[in-house]
Amino acid sequence: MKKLLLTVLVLCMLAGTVFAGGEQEDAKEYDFVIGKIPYTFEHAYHQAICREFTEYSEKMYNTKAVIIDGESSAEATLAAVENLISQGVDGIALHCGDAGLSAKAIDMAHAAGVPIVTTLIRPENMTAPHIQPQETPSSIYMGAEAARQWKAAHPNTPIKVAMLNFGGIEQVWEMRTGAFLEGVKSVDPNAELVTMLNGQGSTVKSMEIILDVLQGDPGVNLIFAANDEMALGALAACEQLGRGKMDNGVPLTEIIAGLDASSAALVKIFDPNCSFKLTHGAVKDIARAEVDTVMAMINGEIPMDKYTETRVLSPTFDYWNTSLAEAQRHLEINFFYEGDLEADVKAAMK
Amino acid sequence: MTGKLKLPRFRSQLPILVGIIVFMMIVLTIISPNFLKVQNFSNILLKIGIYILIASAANLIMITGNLDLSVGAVLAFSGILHAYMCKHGVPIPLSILITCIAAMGWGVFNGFIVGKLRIVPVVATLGTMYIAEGFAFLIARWDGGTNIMLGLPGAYTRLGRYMMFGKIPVIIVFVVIVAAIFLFIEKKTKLGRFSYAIGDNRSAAELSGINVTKVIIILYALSALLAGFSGILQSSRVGLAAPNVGRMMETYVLIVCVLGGTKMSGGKGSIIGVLLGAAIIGLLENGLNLLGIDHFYQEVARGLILIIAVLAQKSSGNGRN
Amino acid sequence: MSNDVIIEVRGLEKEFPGVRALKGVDFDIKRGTVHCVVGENGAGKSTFIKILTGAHRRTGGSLKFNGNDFDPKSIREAMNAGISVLYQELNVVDDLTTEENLTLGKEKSKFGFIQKSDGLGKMMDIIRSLDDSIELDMPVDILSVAQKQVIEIAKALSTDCSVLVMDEPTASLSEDEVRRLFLTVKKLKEQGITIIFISHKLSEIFEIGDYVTVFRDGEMTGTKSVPEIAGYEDALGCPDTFDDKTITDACTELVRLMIGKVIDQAYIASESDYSQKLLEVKNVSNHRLHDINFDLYKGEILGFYGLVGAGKTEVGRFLYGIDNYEGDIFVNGEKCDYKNVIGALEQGFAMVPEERRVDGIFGQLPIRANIPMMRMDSVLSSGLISRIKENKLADKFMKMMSVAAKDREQAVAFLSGGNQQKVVIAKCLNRDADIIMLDEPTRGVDVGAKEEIHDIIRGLANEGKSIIVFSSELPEITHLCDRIVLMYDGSIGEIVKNKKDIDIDHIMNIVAGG
Repeated sequence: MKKLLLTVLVLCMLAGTVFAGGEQEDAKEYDFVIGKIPYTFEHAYHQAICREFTEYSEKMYNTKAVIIDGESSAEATLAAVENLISQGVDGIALHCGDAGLSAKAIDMAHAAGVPIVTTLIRPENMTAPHIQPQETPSSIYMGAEAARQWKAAHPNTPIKVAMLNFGGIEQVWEMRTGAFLEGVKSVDPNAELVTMLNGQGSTVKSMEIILDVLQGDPGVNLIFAANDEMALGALAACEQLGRGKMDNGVPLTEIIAGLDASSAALVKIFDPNCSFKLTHGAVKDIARAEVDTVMAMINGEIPMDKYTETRVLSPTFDYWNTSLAEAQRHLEINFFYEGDLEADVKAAMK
Repeated sequence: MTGKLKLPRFRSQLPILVGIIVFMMIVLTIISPNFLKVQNFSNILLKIGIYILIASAANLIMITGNLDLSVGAVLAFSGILHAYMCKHGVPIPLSILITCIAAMGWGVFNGFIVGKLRIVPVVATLGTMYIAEGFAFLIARWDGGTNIMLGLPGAYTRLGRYMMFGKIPVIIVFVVIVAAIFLFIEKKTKLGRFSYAIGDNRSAAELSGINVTKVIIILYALSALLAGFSGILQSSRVGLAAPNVGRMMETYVLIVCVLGGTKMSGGKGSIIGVLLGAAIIGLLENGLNLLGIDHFYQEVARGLILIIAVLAQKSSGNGRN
Repeated sequence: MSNDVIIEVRGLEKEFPGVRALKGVDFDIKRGTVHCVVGENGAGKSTFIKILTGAHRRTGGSLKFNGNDFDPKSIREAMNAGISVLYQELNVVDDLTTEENLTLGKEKSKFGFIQKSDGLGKMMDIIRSLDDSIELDMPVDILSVAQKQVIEIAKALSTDCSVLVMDEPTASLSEDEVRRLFLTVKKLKEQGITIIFISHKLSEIFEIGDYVTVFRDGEMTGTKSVPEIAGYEDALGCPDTFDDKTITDACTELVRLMIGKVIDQAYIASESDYSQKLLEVKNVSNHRLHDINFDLYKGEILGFYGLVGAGKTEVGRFLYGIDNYEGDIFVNGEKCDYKNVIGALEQGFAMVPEERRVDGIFGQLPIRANIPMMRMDSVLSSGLISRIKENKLADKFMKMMSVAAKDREQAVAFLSGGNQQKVVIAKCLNRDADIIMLDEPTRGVDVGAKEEIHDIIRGLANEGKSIIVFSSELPEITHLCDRIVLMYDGSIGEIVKNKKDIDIDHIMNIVAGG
């Protein structure tokens, strides 16, 4: 028994080493090393960002990217900043959910003379360049489009909205949830926000919550989730209750909207009989903007202690107005997608 | 009783739990018109079903005076493994079988370290938790992503979303079966009796000729098997497998067991308690969601309920029902 | 050496609920002497020590220290008055250095930094006077047990202590270390410190003791000077060291004082079948035992008797597969090689352990669930526990052993000591083993239950079971056993056959090392 255990342990270690070995880069001379801290490595969206960030910085600037997971936690993020500074990186790109924390990270980096750029959540101090994906207009558009589609199919049913957000990130309201609601209200001023709960970015958690929400008010007919993972959970909950359906793009039970525009979401969106229908997001442009800004600071082209806002589009994808080809291209460019979206959609439809 | 605070004493805390449940149900019925509906109870059961499935075995481990913190990670690992195999052409029933065996492997590993090598269970199963979760992330990465959803066969969700007689979700059916099995194990089998004996007095159990190591290994294997099976059910129900779904699961399982009156030092507890403890957690979360109460208040409420339940356990003294 | 009295004990009493642990004890302890205290477990010596050191309060009588009434309310109060204890379990922290151990709990901190304590120099002086091989910066874990004791002694003496109580200080020491400790004790005595020395090894008294007080059943049965015990009229003419014969005789005298008059409780021979040798133990040794040889026959009750620490329990432990051993065990003429309790049980052994609370009962479980624990087959019906069988079994044993309980569902923890013991015995009997070992079968059991348990044991032997009884109560042994194995210091002194008026003096002589 002991021998068996030992063998298993050794095998595990070997597997680990081989795997780690595969990750090892060839010894190569880089001009610079820059750090990147994603919000969390657990979401497909942030993984794609990190991959693009790494490939682009190497290709364009012969620069090595060091990725440290922010683990959607304040402590982990701050520790990652300290870690990168002590590693002596030449620049840092930070995506953090907390404005105060981002400010602190900027101060730390600046104190060490390291240029830093933030993404999405505006830091409190505004003393460093910032990348701002233009999520607000896209969210407004999604809200309006979803409400239009619902009203076209069910003119007499009042619109009831349920939302899933991340806890504790205020700017999410401005860019995502609030903007979506604004869009809805621009079509139907009487639309009601039934509830907004924390799905913790998790599919399973969101599924449980939406089951309860639909129980509390079965009349909910628009569901917006602040990322695709949560939207997929909401969809699973609807399907569990026999909902989640559309008749060839015509809303029957509800309309679900997500955010990030990942492949898992688009596969559902282009299924004409599925109620998940809208999402928006961009990867490539954001990652490249991050790299470009950091490199511009390193090369002294822009000051590292002045707030500038680089705006990046966050294109919308929905069943009614986007073509399958556009979505396919978006996935290839942004999510390193190698499949055929049309085939994947068909496969998922059973 | 060592507590200085004088609390009302009950012989068993099961009546207290039933009291709390009735109270919560009355309050929820009054404030939410949609509470008292069959569909809602189905929702609650679905929510706590996974907790009950895992806690039924983890509870028996706790009765022996040990602990299993790796259940969440084994659940996530199994979900991912199952999805990975299904995506890559393994027939679903075969994949379920392989996954269950792999999950049990984690349990045997736990049982061996805790039972044979006598490493403190908190440390041992924490170690397993990290390894299993690490492998869950690795498998997802081998597949090329953070979670597995695309490319799953259409029949993948059939098990998790299956409705018995067209209206009873399959998880509920499993919960009933597993709870019945464990009730049976507790009352009727040597395994159950020995579990209580080991938790009550491990030294006396050894001197009575009970094979303590074997019992502990079997229990950990059962716990991991149920965690693994829950992982399969959960990922099949959601139609997606993610390596992070098991986070905090061990805490929930622990809370459910403690709420249900299982002594962390061992020797006392029952599956009935687990069912009631899970019901309280389910009602609490359901109620707070029905009322649309914010996540942070939910955390506060959960903590309060746990402390109240432990106080109730203290007041129930040492009497055994 | 001034010979005035430092501690005067008069009519000292201590009553715990239901037990009179001290029943009016009188004696004096003289200043600057090594005063030994001996007695079997439960004789009252530790109760006396606890009252002296403030761990317990007396319930009657008086205790004078330096001529003043002394009734410490806490260990600290006794320490401040000058009475310190060197406990059997040492209180040193292995990870720290000598210096850190000495200053532990006495650190003066200034701005969060630990300052060197003023008392350190004094403690170091004490250490140097006792053992100059100990340095301040040595990590304690490289020191021997005797050296660790020196550190503890230094800590105790640093608080101006005039009386040092040493609780079985030699229990875990090697022979060499015992020598070193005795040297330390002599040096302390030269410094005018009074030492109260508790030990189970009687021969040690004749090496370092000046006086000895013997306790028995809560009473003081004698306080004598060591020369007196050894047979000399007074200290004059008494040699510094005694020869072996003198020590053995003196130990026998002490054992007599410890055990008292053994009332012959009409031994009835059981119907042993000496043609059927069930168990044979040959040349067994381990860390606590040396060359153990004995036989056990069918229907025989074999008793193991010896003072505390003589190795009775250890014999039970290796037979039951708990401890390792070298040597051979034969059951029914066949050599056994079981390595654990499960193996021993399969070989036909069963045991009632010495400590029922620690090793015997399942306190939270009902009586019904306790009894079948060693042989679940007895309550299984097609592989499953049958409540009916369980109830029947419980009823049978509860009747047979007249267990006093509310019902069979009562949790065992709530039973009295005697009834708990009966449940443990019932659990063991249900095993239906051929060789039943009972370690201290009636400890902490009231008189009535004791007699019942004895009857049950005798009944088992008459049914043809072979019984081994380990007991530190001589009357129990002479009352029950057909043959008696007398143990001393991990070895068998002699195996004697029991008879109606067995020579108790001889037994005492053997267990005292004769």
